[in-house]
Amino acid sequence: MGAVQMYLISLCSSKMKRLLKKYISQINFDLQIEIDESSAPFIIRLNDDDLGFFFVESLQQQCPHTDKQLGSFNELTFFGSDVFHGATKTYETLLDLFPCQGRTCIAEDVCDDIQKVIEWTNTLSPELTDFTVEIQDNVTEDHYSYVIKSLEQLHSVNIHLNSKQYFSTVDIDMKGKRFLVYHAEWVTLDHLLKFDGVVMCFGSSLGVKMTDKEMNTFLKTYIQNETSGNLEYMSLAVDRHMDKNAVLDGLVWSEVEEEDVRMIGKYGVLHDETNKNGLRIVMKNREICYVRVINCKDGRGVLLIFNWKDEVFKPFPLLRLPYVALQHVIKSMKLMGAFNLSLCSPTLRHFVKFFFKSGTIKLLIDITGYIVFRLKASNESLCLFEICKHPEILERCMKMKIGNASRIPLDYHDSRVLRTFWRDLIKGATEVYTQISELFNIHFENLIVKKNDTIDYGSVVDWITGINVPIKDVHFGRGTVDDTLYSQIINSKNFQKCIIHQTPSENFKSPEFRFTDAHVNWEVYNAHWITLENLSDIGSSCLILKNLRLTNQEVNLFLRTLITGKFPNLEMIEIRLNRRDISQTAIMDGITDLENAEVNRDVRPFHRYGWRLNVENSVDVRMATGETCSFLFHNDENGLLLGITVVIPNSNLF
Amino acid sequence: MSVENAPVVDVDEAAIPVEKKMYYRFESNDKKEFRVSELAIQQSETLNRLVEAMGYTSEDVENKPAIAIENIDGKTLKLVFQWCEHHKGEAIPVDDGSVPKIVEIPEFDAKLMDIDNGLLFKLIWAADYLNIVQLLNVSCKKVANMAQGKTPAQLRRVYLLPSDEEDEAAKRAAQEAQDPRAREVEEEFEERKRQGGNSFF
Repeated sequence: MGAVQMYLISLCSSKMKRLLKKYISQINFDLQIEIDESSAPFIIRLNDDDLGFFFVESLQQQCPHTDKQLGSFNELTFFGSDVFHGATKTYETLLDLFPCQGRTCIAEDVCDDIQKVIEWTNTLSPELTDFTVEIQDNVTEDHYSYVIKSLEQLHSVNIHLNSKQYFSTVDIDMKGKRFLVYHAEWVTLDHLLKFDGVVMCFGSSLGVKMTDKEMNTFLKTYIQNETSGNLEYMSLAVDRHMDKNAVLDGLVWSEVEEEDVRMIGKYGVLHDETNKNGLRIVMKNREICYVRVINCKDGRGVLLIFNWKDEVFKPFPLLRLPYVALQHVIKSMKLMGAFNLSLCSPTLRHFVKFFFKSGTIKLLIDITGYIVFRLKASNESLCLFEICKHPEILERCMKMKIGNASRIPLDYHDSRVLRTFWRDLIKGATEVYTQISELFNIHFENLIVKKNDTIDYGSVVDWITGINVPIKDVHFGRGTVDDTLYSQIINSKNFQKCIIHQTPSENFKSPEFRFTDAHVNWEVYNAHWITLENLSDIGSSCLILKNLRLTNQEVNLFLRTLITGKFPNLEMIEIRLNRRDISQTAIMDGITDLENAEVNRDVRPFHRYGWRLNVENSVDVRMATGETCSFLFHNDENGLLLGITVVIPNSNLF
Repeated sequence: MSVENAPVVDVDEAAIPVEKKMYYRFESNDKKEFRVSELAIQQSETLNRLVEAMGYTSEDVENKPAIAIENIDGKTLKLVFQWCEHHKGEAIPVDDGSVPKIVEIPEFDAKLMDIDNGLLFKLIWAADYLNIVQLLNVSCKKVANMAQGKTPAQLRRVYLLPSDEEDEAAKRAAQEAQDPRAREVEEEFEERKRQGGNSFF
């Protein structure tokens, strides 16, 4: 049944009207009033379908028998001496019968007196929800201005401006209004800064022509409360995709938590929108606003700003706490929190440094395709700083100053992982390392370096060797390496325990190189470059050398020197040669008579310097110092000798 | 306010031992009165010493005026005594000096501290003033947790921290306020330098 039939039935009796109202009370209708030169048709809509048309016309066109005229089955015309008076009565009658959520008036500017229409709509009860004015092409500036000024007299209604024509010189203020502009190519940054509306939606048909930088300027100005304080919702559409970084540049925001997600649900505009996936920003006046930058599949972009006005941020005045409480707060912070706090001001940096000096923080660095700094506190709390290569496109990243480097993009992988993005990874590593090493009582525990094409290895080695602090445990991964860099690594005095898998060139030699007491515990996997001369003096405590190119005689000579006690620091050495034709007799010549030597079959562990060796089936040899050392021979499955381990003295075996 | 009308901190009756316990009366700076058990008071080193020094008997507690706590308002004191009653009898933790400190916030404490930042600030002040170690620990931990996942710029907002410029300006203002003569001397020195004088004296 159409709306006209329903209306006519309601006229039959009050009982019928009551029944009808009861029946349709759960249905949401929309009422649309279209005003043009001749008449005001009222259209009742349900789900975008026209259910009926009700016209209001002047008495001149009334037929002699009735004040109502039935046109077709879904049209009804009312007549009156005053069209607006008739329209008011019709509006009230229809709303009495049909529950209408949306009550829209659409007026064309050609109707002579828009002012009169607006005055009329302001008298309606219940109020209209939307008022649309359609301005025709080729209007004069005066007329355009007249229409706009008239619109500013509307109260509590969404004002829709549908006009391809515009005059940017016309002063538009829209103080406290809800203003929706379909063709918005005329809207400039100056307009936005001047508008004083509550809801401002621009460009649903034709977008604004503003640049990302201008949008950024507007956002910054809004957040600083230097624009209208009325704005609650804004949608700003552009006919292109936006660069999110440019739009959000310099803003301080956080992601919207699930519990903070809200629907607009007010004024009937942007009703499908929420702040989900948006950014939460604290404004200067401590109101919270939410910003979304959306690039749509159709090539358009939209900037959304929501401010519910009821969310106010209340800061915690940290620096006004008593000193003891401030100390408690900072000491209770996780490492990442304390680090970030230290970047806020020199005073806070001083506090963090002072309060954290009593704790020992272990530092572990992994260098692979990117650089990871792991900080580990004694209570096992952990935080990671990732120094990543700056990708070509980096969206929605905040920026901050780290050391001497400004505007470094960063994000939090989770609350314990801070990822910073650098054009030069080594510069990033240097800045971050400087910051954390100055701030915390750092104990540089572990360094793992794996050669990777994404990082300039020379710079890595320069940086590592340039840090110039003792590192407890260093691991260089597999791969060939430039001889100069290899030389830099083996000559570093800062690597206490070091495992080097790297391979220098076949011809690499370093005649001056000696294992000093700085090379406490070293494991060299590709030791083909080591000569007897390199082993003529050893200050190390533990050495494992693999793939050595020594002859039997050279090994023998070295072992003979060893048992003289020439290397007082040395407690364990393992020598593995690059061949399997080693003569056990030749290398032990003059050291012990293997045929008659007693084999010690006990399992004696060597648990020092992190090693857990089980020395078994070894031969004990008396040294010139009077101490005894143990020789352990390594054979393959065929009984061929691969190498030898010597533990000196064997009192280190338990 | 009469003793009968004084607001009393909720106490779990079942938890009260059969033998008669002494309940002290305290008054906040806005004249709100609280009755707090002897055992709960032990959580506060300051109050514990105070009542020990006073040496009140049960009769004194009822007959003498409530002990005034001048620096704390009723709303804050209510939270403090609620906390003390809930944690009465618990050992007072000793700081082991580890950094970062590990502090777990129990469910009761988390609910108690589900308050706005202004009141939380007062609660920390009170915990510090009354020397309630564990309340200070948990309340400060709650403030420390606000820093999680925040950038320095965000922390400035969260903790109402001055920017670098504001910090510098405040320092300058403080220096000037502290020693106006020093400023005058400095200005005079600058003036002489501009005039090309080599010696100040």
